[in-house]
Amino acid sequence: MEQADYKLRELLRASRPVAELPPGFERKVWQRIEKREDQPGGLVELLSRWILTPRIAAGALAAVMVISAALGAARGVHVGDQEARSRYLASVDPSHHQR
Amino acid sequence: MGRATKVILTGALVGVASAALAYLGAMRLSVQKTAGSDDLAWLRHEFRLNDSEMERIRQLHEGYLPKCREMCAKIAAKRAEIDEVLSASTSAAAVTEQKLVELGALRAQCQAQMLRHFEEVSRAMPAEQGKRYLAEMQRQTLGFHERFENSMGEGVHSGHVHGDH
Repeated sequence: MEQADYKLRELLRASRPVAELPPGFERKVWQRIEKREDQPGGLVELLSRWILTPRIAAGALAAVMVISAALGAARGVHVGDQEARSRYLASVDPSHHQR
Repeated sequence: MGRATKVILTGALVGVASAALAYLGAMRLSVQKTAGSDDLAWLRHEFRLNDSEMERIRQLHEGYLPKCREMCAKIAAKRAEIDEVLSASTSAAAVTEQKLVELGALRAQCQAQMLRHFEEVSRAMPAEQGKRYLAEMQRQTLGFHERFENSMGEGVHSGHVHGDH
């Protein structure tokens, strides 16, 4: 019985030859994965990667806020000037408010 | 929706919200700083006046205000008299006309007083700024009435003639 099992195992091993992996196979696989990750995947992918980069995101946000604040301040000077002018006119000419 | 798209949308939302906050905040601060709480703040800024000029103008302004209030009260009283005459069942046209003439005279006095005040203030400023102030005040106050009267004239040319209707 044991003799027969041994023969059967030998026969199965012979029918399914185990191929040897080429040298450096695993290293090459990892290299390909890393290379794929480094490749840009279109504009949307690139943009999302920039947004997720803290240095770029903080810089862009700071720039947006500085520009917006400058525009708001410029508009505020104009509006404030109009308000101050209107208040003076109303103080010397009571009919000014009715216009 | 992919992960990259979600990241971009979130980033855009944060960007727009931050921009709006910065714009409105800066604008509000700027308005407060420019407008101030003083009625005469605009004069100092617009006509580049120094402290002593401002002091003199403030005295003139404070001297003018009670006279202006008094004139306003007289005009309001005269208007009330006219309303009373008009609402009376036995209102005489002659009385109403007389009251309207008196109201017109009060308005003219008010404008003349305002003009005198503008001239006094303009003299308290450096010559060039005073000239500019006077022109601006005449345009803003008396000029309004002139424009209004001119628009009545335009009505005549466009076929709107008093007496036609």
